Amino acid sequence: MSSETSTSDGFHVSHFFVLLSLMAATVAVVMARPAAPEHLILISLTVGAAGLAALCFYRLLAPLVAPHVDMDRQPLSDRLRADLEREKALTLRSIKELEFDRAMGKVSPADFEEMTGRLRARAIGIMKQLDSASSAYRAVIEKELEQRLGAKPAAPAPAPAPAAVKAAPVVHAASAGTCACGTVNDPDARFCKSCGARLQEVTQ
Amino acid sequence: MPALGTFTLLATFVVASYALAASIAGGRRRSRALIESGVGAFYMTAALMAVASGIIIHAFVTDNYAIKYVQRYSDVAQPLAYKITSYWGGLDGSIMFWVLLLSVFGTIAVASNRERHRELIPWVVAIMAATEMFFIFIMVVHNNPFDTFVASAPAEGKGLNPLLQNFYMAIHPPSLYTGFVAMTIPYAFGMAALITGHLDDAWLRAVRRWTMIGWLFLTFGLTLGMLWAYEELGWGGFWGWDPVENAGLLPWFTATAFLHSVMVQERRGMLRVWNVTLVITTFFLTIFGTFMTRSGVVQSVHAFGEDRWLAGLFSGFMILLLTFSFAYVIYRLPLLKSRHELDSWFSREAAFLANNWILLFSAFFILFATMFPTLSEAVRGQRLTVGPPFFNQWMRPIGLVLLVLTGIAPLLAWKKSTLSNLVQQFTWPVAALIVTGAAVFALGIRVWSSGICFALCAFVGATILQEFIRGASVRKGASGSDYFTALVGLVARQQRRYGGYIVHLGIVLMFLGFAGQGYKQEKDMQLNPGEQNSVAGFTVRHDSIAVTSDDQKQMITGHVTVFRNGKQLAQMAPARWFFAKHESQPTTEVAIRRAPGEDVYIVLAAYDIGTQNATYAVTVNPLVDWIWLGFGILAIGTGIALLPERAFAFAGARVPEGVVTTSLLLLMLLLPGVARAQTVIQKDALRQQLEGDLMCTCGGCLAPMNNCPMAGACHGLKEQREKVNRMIDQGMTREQIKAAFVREHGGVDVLSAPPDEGFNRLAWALPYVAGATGAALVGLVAYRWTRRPAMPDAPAAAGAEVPVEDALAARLDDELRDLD
Repeated sequence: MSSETSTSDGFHVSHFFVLLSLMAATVAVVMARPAAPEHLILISLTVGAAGLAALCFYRLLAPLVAPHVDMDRQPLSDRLRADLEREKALTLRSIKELEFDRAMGKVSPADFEEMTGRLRARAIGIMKQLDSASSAYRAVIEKELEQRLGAKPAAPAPAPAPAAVKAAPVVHAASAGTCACGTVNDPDARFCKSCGARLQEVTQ
Repeated sequence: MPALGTFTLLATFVVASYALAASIAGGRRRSRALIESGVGAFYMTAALMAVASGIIIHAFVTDNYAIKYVQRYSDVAQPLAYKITSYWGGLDGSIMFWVLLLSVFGTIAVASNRERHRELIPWVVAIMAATEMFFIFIMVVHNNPFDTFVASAPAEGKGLNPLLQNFYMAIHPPSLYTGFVAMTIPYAFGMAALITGHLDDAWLRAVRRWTMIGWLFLTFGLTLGMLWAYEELGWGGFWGWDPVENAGLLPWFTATAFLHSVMVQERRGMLRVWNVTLVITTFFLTIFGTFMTRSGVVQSVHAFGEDRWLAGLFSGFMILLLTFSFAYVIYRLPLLKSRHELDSWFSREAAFLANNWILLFSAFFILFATMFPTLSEAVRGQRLTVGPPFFNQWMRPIGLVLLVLTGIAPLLAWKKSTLSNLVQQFTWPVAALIVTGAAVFALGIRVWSSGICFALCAFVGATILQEFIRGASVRKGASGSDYFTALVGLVARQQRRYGGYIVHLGIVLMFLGFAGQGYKQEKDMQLNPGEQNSVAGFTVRHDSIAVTSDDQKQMITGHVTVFRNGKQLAQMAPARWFFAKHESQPTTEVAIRRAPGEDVYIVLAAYDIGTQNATYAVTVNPLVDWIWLGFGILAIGTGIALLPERAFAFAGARVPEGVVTTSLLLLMLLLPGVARAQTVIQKDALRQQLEGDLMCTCGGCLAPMNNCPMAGACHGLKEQREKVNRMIDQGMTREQIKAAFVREHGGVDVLSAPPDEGFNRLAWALPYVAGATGAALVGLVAYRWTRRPAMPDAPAAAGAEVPVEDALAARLDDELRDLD
């Protein structure tokens, strides 16, 4: 469940549906009473599933009435951050694996250089994304603060507008694969995966 | 209740269409609200299907015979567990079960990938919702499991087919369906990547994981099917190349191919188009398999019966699916261009290419051979049979080649293997191959395919062992720990690679089991109480016959004692069970004494309660248990490979160990009958050949005479055997007898393999043509790769970047040093 469904006192919308299902199941079991235990268990499970369906229905409706958020302009959530970390760990692991292959005599030194080059570039890309993400997060907080306090800060926050996955702040294109639009692509990509622009011009 | 069920199905359809529409709109307009709403709707389909399933299971458990489906597949006396499993025992319920599994798996996949692949999610949801809609549509308009009797409901149910009232049968279909359904998820992610154009390597990870899960379940399901056939059908084998078995095997081949070629893409950025194609093909084959089983286009013991309407609907869906998918592949071709080229024929990439070609060829061959009777009927109006001999003849060498590749590929270097490389890597495995080969030859092993298989198993085994030993010593050197710690660390740190090797080991064990089939011995013994007879060193003594009964059935049990070298080994009790309402179809309860060396497998073939005389079909099955053990190892290996990424690692990892079963994997190979043709059966050679050549004409079993799953209870087999014997006695040759049967039967479908003439020659020639064309294509592509000038920008750009990002590079080095 996403955070917009929880209220300040810790009551979660799903709790309401759990309660509802429990009550409905109790009623159903009482009504169906002269029955074998397995029937009652089945009835309860089915009612539980129905409660789940009701919860999902709420999930279906809730986003439609919630305030509109553009999907590109959300700060990096904790989960996405964790995913990036994981991605990075995997890339590092691949580099390690390659070193291991070299030690086992399965990759020649020249090939090793070329293949690690690609992986290292990728790892560095992710690290940059993570770095920029934390500053973007700070920018969001500051902006929020600013709105709540109703006061204009003396100087605008140094970090760029809240942007996460898509808009890494390093737009000067020093690194291969970073498009003018801000998207970080694979270092050897020839087109941007977001805007489709040719990347060579940028990198050369 | 039935009305509520039907309503739930309708509601699911509506919600699924909303999920489809909201996701497409959200994806195109990049509206988070719509996408979230679509995801919510998709979760809701899972919950609604759970409700519908609860309703139908409740109807089964409470014996609500007003519902036609319940009345047909259940009765009051059935144990509770089988009442529940009757849910997926018939066509309508199995479709509903399919949708349930798809929605549940889809929900798990969407929930766990929502943040990571945010761009893809709306399209993933749309694709899965569309697939669900297709199946729900079938249920709503044609196969509604909640259909009720218009007039008054019968008081009694007909009961589930007794053959299906077996533990393995209760879990075999769900496992196979799970495998099929899990393949939808890679397809959905693949199509989402194609649609959005986000075709960098990130989507592959989600896809690879789900393919592995699907692959594991598929393997598990196929193994359970083998185990069921082995324990329940009573013909001593486990794989009969039945169309429905083949349907499960087809996606297994393409998924295996994908799991290998995806490594090439991760490492080298090659084979992109190919990988997308494999994902699409695998999904297509799961749908095709469902279509084959459910539309009655092929004849099979376990097809659900002919249904033209359903066949048409499925065909439409499949055509749509192929057009849509491949149109997108073509549209995205520029983004899928390979970034690297093949440097050498002696490289890992080249070995993977060969492995893919063979796996695909296997899939194509089986598809073709399975559909050939249908094709022949359509083209020439002549129904014929493509049985085990035909499959075995082809799959035996193919399996052996695959086994060779299993041994070779891990030894080759990426990009290019040098001569010294090759010498260093191949010395020990080749030595193992030669020593085992020589030993097998010296021991005078007669069956060539089994002998070669033993030698190759040694080769692959040595390869795997060498990988572990060398890896551990490299790690020991690097980490300074002791050998054992290094070995554990090795597997823990590189789950995918070493898990993969463990899977290979499981496959080697299975091949051992298949090879053992070459030495199978069978004998029929007619005995009075106290008499005994011997086969393959085992002596069987018939003690008595007992008749007992319970609520559901009457049981005739033969009691025998088995001796070896004069020592008593076991008391065994083969039986036949006559279920009420299914008296004409008694089940065979095989008695099996399992041992690593060989199984003693006894079937009560005939009996006379009055005289206590009994006929037993005794089979000594060498090495067969290694197949089941091989599956256990394979599952553990897959579990290890899946483990790293937390959340659903358990889903894959748990299944395996507890189950003493197996899989099919390589079943392809030396299967059942494989050996049968060469078996050292103590029967007259000509009669034995003919039993493989001729189909049992009872009309029910659709198997060659020596493979008849109803052997013993079959009402035509005995007469047919006598007729064959008479003809042999009259001095007729094999060809004459076959001709006589064709004349009498009025069609060549009485032969287990199509005669090599006229149109049928196509059956024999086409696999050659397809194999050669495939090889030529692979060769051409590889040749073009080797010729393509290297793209200077890619490596250069990657190389050039490192110095620019000095600070980050230094940090990276630090982190790498800290990493174990």
